[in-house]
Amino acid sequence: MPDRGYLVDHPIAGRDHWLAHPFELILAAWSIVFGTLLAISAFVPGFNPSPSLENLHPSLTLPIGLLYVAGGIGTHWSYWCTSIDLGTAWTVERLSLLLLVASWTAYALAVIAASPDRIVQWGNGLTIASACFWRWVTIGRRAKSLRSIQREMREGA
Amino acid sequence: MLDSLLSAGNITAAIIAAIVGAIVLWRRDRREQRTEPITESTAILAQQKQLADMALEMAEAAHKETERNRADLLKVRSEVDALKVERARDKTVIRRLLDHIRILEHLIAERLPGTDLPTLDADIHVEELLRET
Repeated sequence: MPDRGYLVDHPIAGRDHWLAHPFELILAAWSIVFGTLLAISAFVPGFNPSPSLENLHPSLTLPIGLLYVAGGIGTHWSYWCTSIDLGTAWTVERLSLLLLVASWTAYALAVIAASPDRIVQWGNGLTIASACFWRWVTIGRRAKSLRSIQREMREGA
Repeated sequence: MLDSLLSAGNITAAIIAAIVGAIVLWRRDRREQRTEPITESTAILAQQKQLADMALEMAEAAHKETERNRADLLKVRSEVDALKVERARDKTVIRRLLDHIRILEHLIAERLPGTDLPTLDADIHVEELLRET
C-alpha cells in the first residue's frame, strides 16, 4: 500500500471513503456493533456477546461499551461529515481513535484478567488497539507535515 | 499478581486516565487547528507543493545522472581518438614495412633471377592487415 490516497477524478463521494480507508471504517463499524452489544449486556442479565468477558465486572461493561460506540461513531463522523474542514475532521478522528485504543485495550486487559489462555481474543483486541494507535500517529504526522509546508509557503510568498 | 494488577478498579482507572489523556490531546489538536487551520484546499495546495518539490528533486537527480553519463562519454571518445591515432601510426609502420619488403623483392628478383619468391605472400598478408586496420 504505497499511498492510500483518494485516486479519483470526480468530487469525493461516500464510496471513495470506503476505498481509501477500508480498515479504519470497517474496524470503527465493528466497534460500534460490539460496543452496542456490550452496553446492552449491562442491562440484560444473561446476555453476553463475548464469553471471554463473562467474569468482567458489571461496572466496567457499560463504560467500555460506550467507549467503543463513541470511538466508532466519531471515526465515521469524521469521514462522512462534509460540513467540517479537513483539520477538524482529523482532530475528531484522532480523539475517536484514542477512545478506540482505550476501549480495545480495556477489552484485551479484561480478557487477560478473566481468562489469559484466550490468546486469540486478547490478541485481537491488542492488535486493533495498536492499529488505531498507529493511525492516530499517522494523522498527527500528516497534519504536522502539512502545517510546516503551509508555513513554508506563507514565508516564501 | 496479574489478577490484582488487572482488577476492575485498575482497569477503570486506566480507562479514566485514557479518556482524560485523549481529551487533553484533542484540545491540543483543536488549538493547533485554530492557529493553523488545515482545509481541503490548503491540504491539496501543500500536497501539490510537495509533489512539485519531489519532481524538482527527481529532475535534479536526472540532470546529475546525465552530466555523469556525458563525462563518461567524453572519456570514451578521447580513448577512441587515442586508438585512432595509434591505428594511423600502425598503418604508417606497416606501409613502411611493405615498402621494405617490395624493395627486398625487387633486389632478390634482380640479383637472383628465377628464385621462387615467398615474399609475395607476405605482401598479400600485409595488404590484408592494412585493410583490417
